Amino acid sequence: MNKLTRIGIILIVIGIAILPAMLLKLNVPSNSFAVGGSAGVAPDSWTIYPDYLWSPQELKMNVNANSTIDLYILDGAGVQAWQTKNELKPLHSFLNITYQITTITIPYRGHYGILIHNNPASATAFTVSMVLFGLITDLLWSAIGFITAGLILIVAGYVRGRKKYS
Amino acid sequence: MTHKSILALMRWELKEYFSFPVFEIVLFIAVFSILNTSSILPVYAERYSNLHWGIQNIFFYLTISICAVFSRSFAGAFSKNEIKTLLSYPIKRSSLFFAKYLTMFLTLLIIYASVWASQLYIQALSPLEPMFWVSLLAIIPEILLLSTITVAIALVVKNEVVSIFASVLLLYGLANLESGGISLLIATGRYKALFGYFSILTHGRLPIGMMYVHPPEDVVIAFLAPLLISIILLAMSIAYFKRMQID
Repeated sequence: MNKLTRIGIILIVIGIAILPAMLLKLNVPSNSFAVGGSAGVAPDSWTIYPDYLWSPQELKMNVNANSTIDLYILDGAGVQAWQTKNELKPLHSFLNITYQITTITIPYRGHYGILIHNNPASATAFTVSMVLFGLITDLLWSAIGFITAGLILIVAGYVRGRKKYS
Repeated sequence: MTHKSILALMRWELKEYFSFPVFEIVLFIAVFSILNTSSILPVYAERYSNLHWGIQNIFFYLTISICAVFSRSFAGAFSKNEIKTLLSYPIKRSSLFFAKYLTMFLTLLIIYASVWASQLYIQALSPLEPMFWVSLLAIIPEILLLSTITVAIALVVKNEVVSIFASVLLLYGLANLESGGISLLIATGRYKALFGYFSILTHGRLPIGMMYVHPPEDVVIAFLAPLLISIILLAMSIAYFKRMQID
């Protein structure tokens, strides 16, 4: 077995090993929080949950509020912009919602936060529950990348071997 | 001359004992076990805590890999009469022992350390995150301890299959001496003692999921005990290998 073929096999093995590890993590436990209790959050206030580590998957959110709220999904830069300059740079916005089940795509692995603005007219209590599900796209693409690179090296090794032989 | 002969032996050992598909199987197990146990806690500020979650699973797969690889190299060489052939060349027994041990140890260490580095990306950690380096440092004495115990068993039983079974059963039994995961008798307990202590030093708090903080003397024991036991076992194994009857 020549060196190119061996390296190709090693890359394919890495790619194949990533796949089952990824498939076993298609669903991660949901992160839920309830805010306000029976009294509710004061009118026209902003509440931020700045501390989520999410992988690039689908995020299913179930929002339930007793009056309308605005909900924003922020990435790491958005969280920092809000915390340092009070600047709103959301990835996704859901405006004037009371009850909503929605699914959004998390674009990349890293830091995210949720910002909620409640109704200016009345105190609000709300619950948000979330679950990440579906294929972890960065791991999937890296597995495909390893397997493709491995296959290319195996073919290159085979072609080189045949040239040497002939 | 000795260094050259050890390097030549190591190259030979690498070709002989990490030939296809052994290296690939060990690599597959490392990638699968490490990626499968990561990202349990989705809290960004505490994401370094994920480096201690599921560590017992990684030690389980690591134990199996070490027992298989070292038993194959040491006990397998007796079964196949390879030791006799190698010693018919002008090679010192100690050089042969070191070449075998270093090749297996360094290869496994490089595989697991490289795959462990993927945690930097998976947990979105900075390469300067001290707990990543602590976790890596805490794994090294465990690899050393597991490998020296396996080598000692392999030299005594001189049979590949028996050696794999004996070392897996012994080491897996030792790993299950205590179920809470805090005793220093088990690899998980020693790892968590180091991880928890350095977490307080670097982040000012215990990582999420860890309830018990070990005193500094426990931390010293957690790091030095596997090293000392390994050195003593290694010295005994070399002495036995140099004097043993090879027929």
